[in-house]
Amino acid sequence: MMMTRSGKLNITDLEKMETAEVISFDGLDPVFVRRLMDLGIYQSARITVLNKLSFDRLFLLEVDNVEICIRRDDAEKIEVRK
Amino acid sequence: MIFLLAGNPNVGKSTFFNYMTQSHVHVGNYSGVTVEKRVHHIKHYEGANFVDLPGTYNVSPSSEDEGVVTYSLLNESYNGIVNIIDSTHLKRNLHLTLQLLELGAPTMLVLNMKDSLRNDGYVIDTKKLAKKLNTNAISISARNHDKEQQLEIVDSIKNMQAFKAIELEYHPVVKWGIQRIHDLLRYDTLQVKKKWLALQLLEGNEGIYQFLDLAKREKIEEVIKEVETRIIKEDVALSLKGAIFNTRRAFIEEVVNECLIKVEEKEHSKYFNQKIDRFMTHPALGLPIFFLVMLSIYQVSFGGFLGLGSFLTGYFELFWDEVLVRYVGEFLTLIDISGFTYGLIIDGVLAGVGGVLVFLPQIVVLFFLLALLEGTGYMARVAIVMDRFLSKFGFNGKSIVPMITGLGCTVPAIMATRTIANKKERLLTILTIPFISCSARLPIYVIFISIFFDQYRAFVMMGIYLLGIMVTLLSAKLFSLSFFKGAGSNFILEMPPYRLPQLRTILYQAFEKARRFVKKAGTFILVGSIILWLLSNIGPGGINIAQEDSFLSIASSFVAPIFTPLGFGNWQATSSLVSGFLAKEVVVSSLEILYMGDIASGFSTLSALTYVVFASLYVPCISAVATIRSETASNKWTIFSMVYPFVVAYIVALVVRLIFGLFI
Repeated sequence: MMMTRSGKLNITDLEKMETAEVISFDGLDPVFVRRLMDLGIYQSARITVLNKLSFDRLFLLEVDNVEICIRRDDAEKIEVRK
Repeated sequence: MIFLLAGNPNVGKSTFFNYMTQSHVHVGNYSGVTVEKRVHHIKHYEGANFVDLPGTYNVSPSSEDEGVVTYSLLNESYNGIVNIIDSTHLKRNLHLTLQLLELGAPTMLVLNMKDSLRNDGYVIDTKKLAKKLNTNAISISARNHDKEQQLEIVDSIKNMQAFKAIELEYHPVVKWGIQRIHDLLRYDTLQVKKKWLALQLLEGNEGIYQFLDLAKREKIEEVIKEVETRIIKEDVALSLKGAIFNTRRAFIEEVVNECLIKVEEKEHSKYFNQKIDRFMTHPALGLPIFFLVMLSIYQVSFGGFLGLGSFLTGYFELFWDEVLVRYVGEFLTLIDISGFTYGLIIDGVLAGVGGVLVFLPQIVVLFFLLALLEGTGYMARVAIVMDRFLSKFGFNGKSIVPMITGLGCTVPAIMATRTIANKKERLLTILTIPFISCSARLPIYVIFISIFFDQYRAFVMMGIYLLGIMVTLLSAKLFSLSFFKGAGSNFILEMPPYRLPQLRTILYQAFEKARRFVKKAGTFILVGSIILWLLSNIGPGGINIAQEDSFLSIASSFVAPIFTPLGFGNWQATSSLVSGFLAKEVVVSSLEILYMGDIASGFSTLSALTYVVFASLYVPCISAVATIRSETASNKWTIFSMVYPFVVAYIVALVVRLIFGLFI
């Protein structure tokens, strides 16, 4: 398992089909965080990495039966806990 | 009676709207299809109208199309709100519902997609849900087009009861903030509850400030700041928005646990269908698949082999020339009309309008196929495939939606950019989207291809389209390196399930396109053809003169030399391009009139190519420019949107002439 510098886990550290709980959104634009929340990615939400697409550039996540695709750059900023 | 129709994006709101009214608004299987609000009469309910609002997750907007919702709630007079909910995503949908219920206006929940939910093995206890939320509710399936259900819905709307606004137990700090803002608004007269406004302001709904006086804004912002600081310091949530969101979420969790009942054990099938999507979004295969799909669409619409569109157009043309024009001509001769009037009708009106109208079958076929593609949910996969590519040019994968819309018409494409939250990125898209070839430019390509490049129809056609796309991308790159530095924004895409599109809806969409096309031919193009014919047949020497002595010829001859380096510096080509500013279809009408049906005589193969290239890229039509003006609210960018394409078209056409001049 790869760890980020601070020892924190983010979405990109998860394996395919692994589930984790969202802890924080560090360094993401508040407007974008709002959009994530609208779609069900909120603090304490349980997300599953369904797939990594386009050479691992995009992450397909599942939360509450909704499937959402975000970029790696943004996924890296979403801290999670297994 | 007016009822506002509100709901999340892609929950079947437009399908419901079409089903309950006599209209057919555009339906696509992705978010952000409805960008304007539309009003239509409700079936079986005399004197009642639905206002279809753009889909939104929140009352407070995070992109411009969602701002319409706040504005309508605050400003419009309405008798009730009808909230369309996707039953299969109840939890997420209820966030908007709660905000509407907090408003305290008469509201009815329409729990759509009852059938899909049942297929997943669940049902909603509608009565219990209505009671829990203190509102009216009904479960339906808008895809079933039966009248009984319609009457049932109308009945519930008629009996919509007004309930007291729902009040959630927000955190004490949030409540304190609501009270403070409420006190600040004490003396204002507003049509909605002040507590609701206060809560919306705390959530960051900037759209509300425009209804308040400026002096208050500062004080309110101070309160919001204080609440936010306390929320973070006391570790209630990560942000103020988060705190409000969490309270709603907890409440929703409780409601859903009680009202969503499992009736059958079923494996939840993933929307992202692993098997199909492994190919559709494959890093290497995805793009070729997309091109193949598009190429086959163009082949069927315009090509020879399997070319349904061209086949139909051929017969249409035959009918127009051999039957209509011939018999009208004979009739005119019979009633002794000749000379000037005969020319105006046969060589002006019928040639001009007919020259454009013959493309109707091809355009209908193209739009039928594009609507079919949109309805399936494939476009979301294309957005995934294209994101990597498009992000390099300062776009994101989602820009593909306005781009595909732009293939139809630039005007709705410019409006579709409202779903792009980032301002810079939106402006960048608005300024570059006119390069995508709209359907009005199609007749120009078809005419020239059939005369000069007949063997390579689908390829030349695809080439022109690709050129438009390339210019769009390169311009975007140029802008993102200059005017809009750092425009790169986030990308978030919801994966819709593959759905079987409804034939009915698609047919109506194609029909709607046809109707607009015919309408345009009967108005803009008709008037344009008459004016053009008159100007080219009247001159300082009176009527019945040689076209070379006409007013049009004299005026255009001043401008024409500009185009000499491109190979078409004559007055006919110049006039056609100038009149094309009215509507791009007029280009073909003009050519038909000015060359008196013999366009081939005016061009060489090379100058035909440069002309087509120039015509595909130059200044957007007047409607597009007007839309750019209203969407950007900037004279500077509006002027830029006319000058830049002219320069680009000129340079590209010149380059094409130099390169192809070596071969042709």
